[in-house]
Amino acid sequence: MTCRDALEILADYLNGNLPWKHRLSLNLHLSLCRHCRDYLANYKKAVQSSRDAFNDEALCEDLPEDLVQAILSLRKQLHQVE
Amino acid sequence: MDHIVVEDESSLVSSLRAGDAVAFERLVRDYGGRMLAVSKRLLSNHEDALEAVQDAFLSAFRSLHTFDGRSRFSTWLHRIVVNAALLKLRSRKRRPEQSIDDLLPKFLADGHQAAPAARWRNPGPENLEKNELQEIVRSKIETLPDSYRIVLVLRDIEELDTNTVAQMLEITPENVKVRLHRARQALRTLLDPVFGKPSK
Repeated sequence: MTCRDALEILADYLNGNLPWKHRLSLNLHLSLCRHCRDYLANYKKAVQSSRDAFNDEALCEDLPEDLVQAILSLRKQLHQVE
Repeated sequence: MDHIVVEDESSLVSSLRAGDAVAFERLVRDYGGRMLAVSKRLLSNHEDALEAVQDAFLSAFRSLHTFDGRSRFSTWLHRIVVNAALLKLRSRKRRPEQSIDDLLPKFLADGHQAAPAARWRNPGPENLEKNELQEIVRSKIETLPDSYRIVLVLRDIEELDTNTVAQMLEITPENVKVRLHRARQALRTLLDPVFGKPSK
């Protein structure tokens, strides 16, 4: 297995969706290739960082009052039509 | 899903189905903020994000009768706001997307990495506060071409499964997997200067 092959299957590797033969080959490659081990560590950290980036209560704001009123008004109109 | 939590869902759904205006207002006030957060993760334009939330609430009102209770009401609401945001995204004037190729790993003819990955700092850059780092990561995600960014947001952040994302985007599950992997690789490259150890 080359680095090209290894980096192509990282997502399936992390998901646990890799057939055992490929997993074995990738584990062997990772044990021998520091560059791919570093790449895998960075890849995992990039995924975690993207999750962390949006995991912030400060990003959750109330709806503006004028939008709330607009939604309630539109709902009232729809309710009357139906 | 974790992002919108509706307490006592069954009584709320019953009240909404009965046409209870107070229940609908409670829904909008209590969960509008969470729905806006979802919308903003998909739409960078604030006005678009607000409009998508409005569309989502009206869509939810119109299609209440289709909620069959097999999933949680909060999951159902989440799907509705995601779909409303995707619809808004599609309605925008499309710009040609930039290629993502420059952000993907390069290889030599023998298959080895041409430019091996830098070792990243753990836990992260010491000179940045948590919120500063979050802001940087969000800005990097924002630079990804939409067809990759959306898959990354839907799979890794909204935590929708591959088949659901494929249905929403009208692409194959295999295509979702490929785009997700490419998006993560591109994000890894974009974060290299942030997390990479400074060269001595």
